[in-house]
Amino acid sequence: MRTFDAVLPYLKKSYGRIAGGIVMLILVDIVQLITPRVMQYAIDSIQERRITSTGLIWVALIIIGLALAVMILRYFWRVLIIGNAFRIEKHLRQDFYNHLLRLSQNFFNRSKIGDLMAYATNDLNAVRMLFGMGLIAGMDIVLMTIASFSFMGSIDWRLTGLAVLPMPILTITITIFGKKMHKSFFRVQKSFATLSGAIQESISGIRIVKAFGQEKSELEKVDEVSWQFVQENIRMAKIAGFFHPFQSLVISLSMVITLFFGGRAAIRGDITIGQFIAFFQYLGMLVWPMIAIGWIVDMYQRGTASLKRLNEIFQTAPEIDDSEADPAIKSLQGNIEIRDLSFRYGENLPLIFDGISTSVSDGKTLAVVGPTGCGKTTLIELLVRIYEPPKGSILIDGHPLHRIPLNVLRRDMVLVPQDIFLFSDSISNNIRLGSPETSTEQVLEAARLAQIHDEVMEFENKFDTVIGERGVTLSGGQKQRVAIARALLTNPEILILDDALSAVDTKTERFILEKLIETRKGKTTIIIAHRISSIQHADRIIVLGDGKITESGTHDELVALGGLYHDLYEKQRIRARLEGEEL
Amino acid sequence: MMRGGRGGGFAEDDLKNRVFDKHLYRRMLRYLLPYMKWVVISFLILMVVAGAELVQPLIQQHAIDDYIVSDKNIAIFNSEAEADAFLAKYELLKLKKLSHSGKYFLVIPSREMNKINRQDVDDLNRRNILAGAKVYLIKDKASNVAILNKYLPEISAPQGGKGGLQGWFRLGNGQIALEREQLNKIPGKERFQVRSEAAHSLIWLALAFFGISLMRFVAGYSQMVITTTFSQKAMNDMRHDVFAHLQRMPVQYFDKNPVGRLVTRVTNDIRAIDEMLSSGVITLFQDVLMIIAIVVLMLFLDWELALISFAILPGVIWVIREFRKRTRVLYREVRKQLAALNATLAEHISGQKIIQLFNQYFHKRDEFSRINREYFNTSLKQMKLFAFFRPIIHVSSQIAVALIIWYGGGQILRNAITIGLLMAFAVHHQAVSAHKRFLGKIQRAAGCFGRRRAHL
Repeated sequence: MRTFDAVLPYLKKSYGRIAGGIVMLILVDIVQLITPRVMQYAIDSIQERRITSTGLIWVALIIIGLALAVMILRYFWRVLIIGNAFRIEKHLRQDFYNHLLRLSQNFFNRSKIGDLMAYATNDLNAVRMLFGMGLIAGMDIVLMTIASFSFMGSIDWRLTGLAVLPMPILTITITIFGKKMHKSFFRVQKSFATLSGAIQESISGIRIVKAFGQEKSELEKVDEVSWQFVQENIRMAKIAGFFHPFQSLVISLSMVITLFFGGRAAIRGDITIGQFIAFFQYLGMLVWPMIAIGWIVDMYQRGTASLKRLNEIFQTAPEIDDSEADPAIKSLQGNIEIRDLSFRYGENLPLIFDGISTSVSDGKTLAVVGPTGCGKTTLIELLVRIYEPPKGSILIDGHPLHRIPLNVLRRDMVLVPQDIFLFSDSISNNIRLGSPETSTEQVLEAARLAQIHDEVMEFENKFDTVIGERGVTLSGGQKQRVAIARALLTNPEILILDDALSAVDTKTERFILEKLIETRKGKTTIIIAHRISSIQHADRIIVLGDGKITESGTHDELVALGGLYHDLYEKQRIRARLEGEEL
Repeated sequence: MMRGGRGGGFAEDDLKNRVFDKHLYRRMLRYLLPYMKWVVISFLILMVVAGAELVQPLIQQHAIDDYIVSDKNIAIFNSEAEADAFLAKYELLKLKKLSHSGKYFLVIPSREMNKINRQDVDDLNRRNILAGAKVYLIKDKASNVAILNKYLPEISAPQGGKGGLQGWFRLGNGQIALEREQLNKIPGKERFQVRSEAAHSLIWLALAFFGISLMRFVAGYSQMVITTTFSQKAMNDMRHDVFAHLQRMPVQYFDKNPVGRLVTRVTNDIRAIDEMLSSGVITLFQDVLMIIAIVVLMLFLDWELALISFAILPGVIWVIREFRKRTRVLYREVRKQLAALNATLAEHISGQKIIQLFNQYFHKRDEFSRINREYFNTSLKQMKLFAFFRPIIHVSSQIAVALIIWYGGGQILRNAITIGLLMAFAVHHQAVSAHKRFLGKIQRAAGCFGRRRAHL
């Protein structure tokens, strides 16, 4: 993928706007170059008394007219080109989102959210600058330089040569110092972070500091870091202090050269006074391009670097997709079969499962237990195809998993995961996530089934209460029940609960389970839990261990077996007795 | 998250007024007290720089007026008595009197012309005493005379009035005068030879100009380093005090205040002030000073012209105020929407598993698309506002230049001012515009200062 591929379609679409903007830019530069000529004419005429008062009024009006023209043209090129840069940014941002949200779990596992956000903020910014100000400044520089040189040259090319001698020094200095400034700036930032960190640490541990009477030494520690910060700032000031005055010096060198040689030329009569003064103005116009070159190159480098970074994302393909889906499969009944499933997360990683097989018939309940880390959640995530199982190892209604269209799979198989994620939105909107058009009554009904309805009604805004960072923080149990309501809302063919009732107390848990059994008659359910109380009614229970299914059967069968399940059951029964609860 | 200093727009604007709170300044002064010596030195350097900035255009003006253009008016009296009478009347102008073969010449530089009474000027013209055109002065030496004689006749009895001086004439005291038209009859190289004194003086002027530039360079560097040093040290002291003060607080204080906020008080906000100090207040002061100095200078050089060129000012100030009002509102909007956009993106990324599990890719995508579009529209609005107002400053500067040309040109035609002055004016006026723009930026940075002080 070439660097600019992601932006190319948008550039092509907006080439009219860009071309228009560039034309305006050229016009502005032309007008700006005319003004000194007008001044030149005015001054020469004044000096030679060739002009009348009315003539002066005309000159003044022309200058004003030109300025107004510049104003209008500037407005338009800003709107056209910079507006377009914003537009490109908007499209890129959407493309980025569209692509990113399709990617698979493996990608998100190895990416930090901070890094991903950086793409959407810093990188997009850099691209916008490139196609906005970068384009403008770039064109401006080229035009101004060419035009300035031509005009100066037309007055006196020898003078031009002499006057611009110092200019390259300007550009070189800026490049060198630009880098130095950058480095210095980062050092200051880092020093500030260190300072912040030291103060943060000291304040966080203030109780200990006070307890051990260490205030003085803490103060000294902070003083030292603080002093480092002072030093870094002074260091940076020395660089900055050199930078800008030096620029002015070089520019004034150009002016001195012009004053001297240009003055002599004017005395000699080679150029007129008006030309002499106009020359100064054209020279002045060259300053900005010289200074800006460094800036532009920097912007270009950043812009392209950012585009390359964005391309990395665009070139990542989603691992899980519908490439082998069979469109004829329109719905699922709920017959799940796991056939000799072996799985590891990556090539050099250990085997999670070593050829396990089991099945759940339509309408039945399967429960999975096992020690922590035995792979229960992994099994679930393979079932819902968050990770890709080996082909043919998981079948639903006889179809291999990868042949089922994702939207069918996700609609008919709903998971209540272990880690609950809720959106910063109202409770009702969170519940109706799976089907945003659902009516309020259905939302309330799902809430009732999940035993969360009454509690929510006691909130000030009831179901419109916003949860999350900006709103109310729910307790663990409340979150779980909202997630259950969310899952129940669409009444899916297959419901999977991954440790979904862990934060809920036993009594509520029993209520929910009873409701579940009732409402989900004839629908497949898979439950993972640690509490025997949650699963003892299941049609089949499997115990996972060491990557294999060690025990399989009904509750009574497994208790009679006297294995892991039996032990687990016993322990929990005893604890329940001690706590005065019924199992 | 670490913030570098110049905080968000709308927050500062609310506190902008606090910048001018004397109480706050008094406390800042307290910390600067131990470094007063350096503050004063920095101030003095500033004066020097300001002076240099003023002087340089004057040098340019001087070069143009006295050496390059350097045409002067000549009054040719037939009797010494008349010449002396005129001299006496305008004693203050210290005009040069020269005489040669019965004619008495008074040389009047262009910039002194407008100090002469209009009636007297008309009188001189009527009596054909004032030469019709301006003259150049050339040294009376053999080589020059030889060149002159090659192309022009010598006028033994020069007369004032129009068209009188078709040649060159001696002024006495080693000077020769000739009109510009006459001078132009001499080809380039010899013309230069004849005016070589002027060219030589140019060298000195150029050197002086460059010397001043060097001085500005050294001054600029020292000022930056000195200012940063003392303000950093002052900030360091303030940090120490705040931290020590914080340490002395009872434990309950730390229960009530979150760590993050306390850290911010000690670090970020102080840094904001510091930035404002080193790049803001000092420069703000310098700028205000510069503007005042330039304005005074312009008024001194020619108060009528100065006033005319400032006629635009009230309009510009009004425009700037309008702009800031509108931009403030929009700026707040844009920031808010950007925050919402990023928050949404972050949330969707965090919840990508759930979004995929519940098949809500398209729905969430549309949600994001809506916010994306809103942000774009608001950004565009803000940009258009900016695009509209920014050029106005430039236009106002050009309008002022136009006014200067119109009025100043007229004055030049009436011999009231010189071209060099006109150009100096244009340069000074541009300087004022530049400083004005900078002032605007400074005012924004000043807002942080108020916030920090609020905590102490």
